[in-house]
Amino acid sequence: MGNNELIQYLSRSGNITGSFLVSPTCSYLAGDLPDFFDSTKIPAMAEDGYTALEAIRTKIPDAKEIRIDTHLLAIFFRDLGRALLIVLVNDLAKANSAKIAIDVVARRYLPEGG
Amino acid sequence: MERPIETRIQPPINLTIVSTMKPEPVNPDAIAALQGVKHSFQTDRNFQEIHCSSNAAAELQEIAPTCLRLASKLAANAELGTLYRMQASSDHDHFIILALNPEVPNAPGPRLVGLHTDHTTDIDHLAVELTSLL
Repeated sequence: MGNNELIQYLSRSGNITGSFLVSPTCSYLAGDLPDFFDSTKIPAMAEDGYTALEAIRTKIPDAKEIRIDTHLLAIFFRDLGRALLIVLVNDLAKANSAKIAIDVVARRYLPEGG
Repeated sequence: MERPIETRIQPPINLTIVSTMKPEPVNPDAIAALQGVKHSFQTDRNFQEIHCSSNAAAELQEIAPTCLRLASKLAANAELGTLYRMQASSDHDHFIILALNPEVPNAPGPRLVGLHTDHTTDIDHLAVELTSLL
């Protein structure tokens, strides 16, 4: 499963509002984003996600995912090795189903060109 | 001779409700009794320890302020709403920080609760149970 296939799988799952992939240098790779999301925020968001993972790994070295809940959304940051997957879920009741879909694509992910 | 009328000027009173939390910390024994919880800690709004269940909990408490500030910054910068929970997962563990009160000076009550659980724990269910203790 490559970058685009991964995003398409998540979009079809029905539980995910939007998702995108970024490289370790925080460059956009692929995505399916909701209208309300400002795509200019992607690089900063990716950088913050990687920084938060690094902070967590000082105490939990094998941490692979961060979930942040706000009053609007659940946001998942899943480290896929050669990419960071960021998933937005605007219905918190669907967050567990979204998590299952993320686990599925993470197991099948093979980065394009990698 | 007529006495002047005494006027007492009252300072304006500003009441702002910053939290629906009880001012008391959550009972540590009640947190420990929640299903799946291996270690836990609780801090005040200045991230000062209220309770810490073990050395492992103390280790996680060390990074709680950094994690919470990063998550708050991320949510604010991306305009994704106000943060109230952060969770990190590995194949074996979950580490959850619940931000209980807004980062407001002089807010009453505890600021956050941190929980370390095994990976099979249903975090959403756990969060509901914890909230019921507040």
